[in-house]
Amino acid sequence: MRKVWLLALVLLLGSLALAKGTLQIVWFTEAPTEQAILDKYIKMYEAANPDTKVEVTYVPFQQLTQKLELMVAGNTPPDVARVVTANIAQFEPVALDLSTYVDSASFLNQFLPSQIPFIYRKSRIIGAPLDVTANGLFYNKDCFAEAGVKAPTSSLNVWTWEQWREAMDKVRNNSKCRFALSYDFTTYRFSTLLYEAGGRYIDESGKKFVVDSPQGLRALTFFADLFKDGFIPKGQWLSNDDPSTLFRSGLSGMYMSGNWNLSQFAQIKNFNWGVMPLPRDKMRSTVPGGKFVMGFKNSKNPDEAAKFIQWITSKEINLPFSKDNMVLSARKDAKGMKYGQFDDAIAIYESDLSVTPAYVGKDWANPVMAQMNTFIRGEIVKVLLGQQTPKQALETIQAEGNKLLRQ
Amino acid sequence: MGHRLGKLLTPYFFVAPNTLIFGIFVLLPMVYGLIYSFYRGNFISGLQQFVGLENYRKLLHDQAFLSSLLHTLVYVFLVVLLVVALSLALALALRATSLGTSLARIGFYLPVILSPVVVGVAWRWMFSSDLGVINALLSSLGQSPVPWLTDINWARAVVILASVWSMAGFYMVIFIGGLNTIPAELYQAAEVDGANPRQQFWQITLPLLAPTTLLVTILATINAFKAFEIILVLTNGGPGDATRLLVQNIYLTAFEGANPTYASAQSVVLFAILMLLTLVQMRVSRER
Amino acid sequence: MTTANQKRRWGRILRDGVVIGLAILFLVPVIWVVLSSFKPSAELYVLPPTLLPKEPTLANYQSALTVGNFATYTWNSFFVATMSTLIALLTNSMAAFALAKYRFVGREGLFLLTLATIMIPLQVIMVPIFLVLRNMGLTDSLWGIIIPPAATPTGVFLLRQYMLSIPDEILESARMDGASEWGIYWRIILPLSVPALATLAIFSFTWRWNDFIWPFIVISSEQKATLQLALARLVGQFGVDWSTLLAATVITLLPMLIVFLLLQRYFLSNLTAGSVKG
Repeated sequence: MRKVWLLALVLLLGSLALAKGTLQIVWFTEAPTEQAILDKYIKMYEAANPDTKVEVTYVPFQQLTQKLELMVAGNTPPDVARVVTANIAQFEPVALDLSTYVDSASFLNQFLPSQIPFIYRKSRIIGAPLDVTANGLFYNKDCFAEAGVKAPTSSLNVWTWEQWREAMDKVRNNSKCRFALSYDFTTYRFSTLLYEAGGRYIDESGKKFVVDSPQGLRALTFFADLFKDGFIPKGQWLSNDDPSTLFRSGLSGMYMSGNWNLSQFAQIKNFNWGVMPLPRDKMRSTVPGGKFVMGFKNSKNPDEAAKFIQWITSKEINLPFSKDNMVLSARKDAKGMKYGQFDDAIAIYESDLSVTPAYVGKDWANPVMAQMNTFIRGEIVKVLLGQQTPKQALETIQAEGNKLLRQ
Repeated sequence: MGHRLGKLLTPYFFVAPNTLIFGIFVLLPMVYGLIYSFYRGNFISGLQQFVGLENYRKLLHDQAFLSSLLHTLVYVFLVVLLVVALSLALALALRATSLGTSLARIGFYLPVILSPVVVGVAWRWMFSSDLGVINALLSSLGQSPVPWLTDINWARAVVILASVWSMAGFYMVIFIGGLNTIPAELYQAAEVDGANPRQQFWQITLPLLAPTTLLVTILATINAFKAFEIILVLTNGGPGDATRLLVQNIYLTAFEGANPTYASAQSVVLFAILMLLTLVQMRVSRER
Repeated sequence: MTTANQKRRWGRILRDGVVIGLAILFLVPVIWVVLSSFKPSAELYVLPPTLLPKEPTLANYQSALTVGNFATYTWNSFFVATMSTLIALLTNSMAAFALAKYRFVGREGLFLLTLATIMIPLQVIMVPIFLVLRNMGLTDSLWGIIIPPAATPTGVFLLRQYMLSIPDEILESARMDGASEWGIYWRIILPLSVPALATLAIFSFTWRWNDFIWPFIVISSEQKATLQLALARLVGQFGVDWSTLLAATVITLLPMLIVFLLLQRYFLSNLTAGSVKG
């Protein structure tokens, strides 16, 4: 027993000694391929900065928020974390302000305007964008060919919602894809329809929810009907069935997800797949999002953190890094960058992003949306279960949103 | 004098290491949790304001909390009932030592060592409404598929079955241990007296097994109240919130809702219920 | 007489057959996990679902073994599970002995306290636990996941219940012979409790080996990650690498199966029957 404690003490001192001079990064994992890529870049950083040792903590995405909350609550935040839009809004008060390290105007000017609202708050720079994400529609080329359905290939022949539904019906009945559409269980993915119908969550002033509108009703009704008519398998929104697995297994005709899947789908061997422009209703739209790196005010090495953030978002590093991960860089100078095998797909995402109204990004940069995310999803599920009508759901969402906006 | 003092201190010496460890790492955090429950606060700014019983008052009108509490009570009752019955039956069937029973014991114990993620995956493979084996079998027999995990009541049933399946082996082992402390002479004597197996069960096994049964019931109750991970993987609390139990609700409140102090109040209520139930169980067994 | 014996033997064989059959039925999900770990990922979800792999492959095992530093994770998990189990056996049995065999002020209170500590799920007191560990300097250290969970209340319970069935007379006669209290615990109680200790060892090893929450709270560096932390990463933001996950799961099952096989003969032997009252 005494030996055990002694050993514990030795190990403890050892770990304290190790903590010195290290840059701690919390990195959430998205695709299994990603870890090896990041490791490569970390080695490059260490080679360029011999005094620094980088230590990466890989966290499953599902536990990212929780891990960061624990570390922040314990006043032991990491130096750098990779986060999504919801996190950067939540941790704004404890974020490291990069504007003390860089010239704000020229730093911000490097990045696409759509990402600026997320990182520039009250003249503080609370993070830097790594890449841009866009919702998008994948399809199984084999099933489409088998069913004799031709997918739109460019922004000129985008499907309307009605054409989209017809295609679903044909694919389901005439090909080995028994399921027409897989649909990620997220508010983001549903919202594509809201914006396409011409609706939005928050009005121009940023102070009022306006989702309870005829456009909102049309979007939610259309969505609920996709379940009712059996186009989307119910389990995906009701019981934790994994939509990505269903698509990858070749049983689903289409998959509403986003550009981040490219690197993982590159490994699909049992069928051919493609990306098509998102269908339109009143207008075309996608939902832009992104991944960011941020530092924390009370971390051990804020200076080193600022340095690393600038490094990984710099042109020299971020462009090849984005290419390796097959994601869209958030830098302006990445425009026209070639990705090799996925150039067509990426052109489609870029076209979807280019027609998306600016207020879509503004909706999601509002911290209230980060809090509303799960709530909205829950209300939609109640509609799918037949516990309330679409109209009632929209009213509830609007009331809750306004309540949070007032606080 | 010194000797007597030493004798007096002996039991304290024996309980010290264990008490020290869980005092520091479990009890202390629980006390913190109790204190948090009287505050308003979040992860970023810490405790902000003492609000007395406000969090507890809020609970009384919180639909999500109340429905998860109700789900939990029903779930616990059914799981405990089924798990005690099944594990006792298994222990009785497998108490004798032979090659067959040894193999069977390993088989029934195996689910206990699976991680919750795998239990969830394997059960999804059987019960998934669209891709599950059972529905495939049903449709090959010309029956219509059952919405196992997408219908509220079926989903609840499947979640209960999966929990029982994953825990029965654990309590089976405890029951076998209990059965093994019953002296074989008693059964021999009973056989000489001409008691049939059923009489032996009611008059020897069950009464002498009472302490073990109490132990199993208490542990099963507590563990069922704490159920979390398997359900998370199997239904994630769905459809809607039909299988969302108290612990998941607390977890969501704390981390997704970023409201740790309100979540603390909910844990205090959970703790109070468990304490009460356990005391009742112990009292009842003592009176018998 | 012979016919009665024969009848009994046939009865036994019949019983063995029935229980093995039931066990196999019970294990269908597990069998599916094992067989599916040999399926190429495209075969994992086909309609109608299959049990046997059509084109068996070891590719999943290859990719499982190359997830990060698989050897490091395995060693960490093994070290943690073993040390924590040893500490649990010692401290829990000491506490159980005192609770079962001594009358002392505060015993009832301590017993209830032990009970109370099982009742709170770790998930709900994570924040304070993290604060305590941080203040003790135990964050990001393997000892942070070895020591705190070692005081398993369930273990104390199991052992106490078992020790209650050891007759006091044995202890009294040892005292007459001049044995010290520690000697009684070490030479009499522990050997007599082997079945219960073996049971606890199996449980404790399984709990620690499968544990996700403690490592998640405590560990942040890669060299100290355990298997379960590494496996959880296979569940990405969108989409799960099922085939690797299944193969990795089968690999992680093996050590627990070995521990179970090694220890099961101890807790299943009727070691104390006959010498111990019920």
